[in-house]
Amino acid sequence: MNLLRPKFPVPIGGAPSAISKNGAPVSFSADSEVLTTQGENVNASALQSGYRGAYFIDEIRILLWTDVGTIPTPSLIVGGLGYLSRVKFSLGNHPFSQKAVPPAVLAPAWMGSTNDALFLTYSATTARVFQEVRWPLPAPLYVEPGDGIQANIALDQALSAFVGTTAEIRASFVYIGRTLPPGEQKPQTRTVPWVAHYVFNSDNVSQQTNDEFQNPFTVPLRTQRMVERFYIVNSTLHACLAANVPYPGLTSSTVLYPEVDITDSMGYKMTFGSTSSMVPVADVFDYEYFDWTFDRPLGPREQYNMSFRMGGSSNYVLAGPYHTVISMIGSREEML
Amino acid sequence: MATNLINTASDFLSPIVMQAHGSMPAVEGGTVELDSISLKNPNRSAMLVDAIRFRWPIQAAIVNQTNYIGSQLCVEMWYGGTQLFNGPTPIAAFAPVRVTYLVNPSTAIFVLPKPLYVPPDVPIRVKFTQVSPQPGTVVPVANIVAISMIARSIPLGWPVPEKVYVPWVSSTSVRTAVATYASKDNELGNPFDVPLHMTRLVGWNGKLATRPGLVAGAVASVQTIYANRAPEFTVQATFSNQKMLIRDATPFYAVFPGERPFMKLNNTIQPQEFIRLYLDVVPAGTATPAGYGIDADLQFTTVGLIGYREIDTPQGALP
Repeated sequence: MNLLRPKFPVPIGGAPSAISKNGAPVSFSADSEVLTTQGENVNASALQSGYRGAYFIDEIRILLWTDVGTIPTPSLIVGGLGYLSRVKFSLGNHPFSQKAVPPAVLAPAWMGSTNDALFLTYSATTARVFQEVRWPLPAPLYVEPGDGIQANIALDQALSAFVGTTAEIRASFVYIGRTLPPGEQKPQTRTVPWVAHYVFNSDNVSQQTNDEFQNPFTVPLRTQRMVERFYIVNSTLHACLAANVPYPGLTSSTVLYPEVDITDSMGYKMTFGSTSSMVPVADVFDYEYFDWTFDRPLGPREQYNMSFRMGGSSNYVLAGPYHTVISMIGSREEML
Repeated sequence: MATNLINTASDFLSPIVMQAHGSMPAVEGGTVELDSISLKNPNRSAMLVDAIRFRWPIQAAIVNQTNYIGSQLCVEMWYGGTQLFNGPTPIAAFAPVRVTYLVNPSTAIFVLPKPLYVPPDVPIRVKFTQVSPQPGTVVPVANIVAISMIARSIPLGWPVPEKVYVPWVSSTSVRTAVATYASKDNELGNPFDVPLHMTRLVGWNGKLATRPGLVAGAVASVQTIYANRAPEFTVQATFSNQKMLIRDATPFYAVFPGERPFMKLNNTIQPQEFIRLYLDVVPAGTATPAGYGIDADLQFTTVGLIGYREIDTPQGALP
């Protein structure tokens, strides 16, 4: 393990794998049906690869899209698509998460049609709202011949106000990988991703996680990164870029901002601030990728603990409510 | 017994983010030093620092964000009593600036050339200085400046590594409206009595967009001139021992592309050697492009040299 070089910046486009690099590239995809009803669940068909051999998946891409004409008032800004929906994945009897996850916190990289600083010019002239989330898996995921990933997508019930009866949202799941090269033995274990997430709602003065970020397995969980997204959920649902979260004392500041304190169950502090143990979320996570990448194993039943509160002067206006969504992404080894 | 952390599994290292912020007074030459207590590992153990992020929340008062961080907002750091910067250094000279909030660059990240081992009792000090890029014409602004130190805690009782890799940042900045410029001998170099491992040169010109398609805060007409003059804006560099670094007058933006404005070096510079950098925006014999004006100058250009030196660490030798 290379201690000297953590992953800065975050690789975009899939983690290359020594074991898979000799294989032929493969890509499979599956589409959801139209999501029109709040809380509706749609299964993307389990992927039967059509390929007779085994393969590795390096990256999952989720493309969410809709048409402006079908989006009701209040309008839905592109970043909201990744929060409005929830996805679940599994491979055989190995789930990737305990509960459905907002795609926006699966990965540090995304692009979309509007209001996206990373890809502002990507399609600024189009009226269509879309968002693509690219999730480079923590490690290549080995898939046996005949197996396939089961994907499930739903609209979040609590955010139903942002979806009208005429709204149509669809999703495509694309799996990018490589075949197991001929003559190469299959691995003894497979590295299965694991994602947990938590939403801090600013309607509450403060909040603490319980066991959301616990390793529920009997084997170590190698945590790779946390991803944070920050949403304003009032007249519109949209992603607010955390870099602009202000500080007390700014003359132009009129808003509160979320703060977090992170520890682990071994007693280590993971955040530390100048005024208290609480640190603005904008200073914990990378300003461009909205993530914090590291390499830390959690033993069975070990966990990260987070406490949240809203910072800033009580004179400031709460323009929210704000939803601060934080995910923990890792992987565990499962016997084949 | 000393050991080398490089070869040690990272399983026992706990990630940690330490944050500090301060208020910059609206005075030319004004300074603010951040609270170094908040940059100490609260786990009371040693740590490896991997990167430092900078953030300055947007204020309306900063009309030109690009020039603000390109040459106005300068940083110095100390590792205990050891200086890590060659005086106040513009952020853009060592930390590629990111355009994270639509058109306003408001953040930057400095990935250290190698992780810096910091014993529990050694403070990291950070000081910001506001240097007007054009004295008397640019009004200093009050602003909040913040940093996040991205590190990994080392468990208590672990031995001190055999070597510590101490970063060194030096820079040269154009602060007057000139068409040609040469860096000074004491700006980009190795002032130490041990070799300095150079990892990269970082280049920044505040008047041009930092990313394709994004306007980074400069006055539009000036920026148009610079964008159209990009081929004429060149850089050359030689070492003090006459060896070439950038042999030909090369377009600045080809050496320091907007998306990743740095040039990898991976070389060593010997004690007391230095790099001399030449900038030229109107090369001899080059006609000024018609319609783009002739007032192009090099102001707000800054170039930084990032490197590190190795310090052996017999017990008690750390700063």
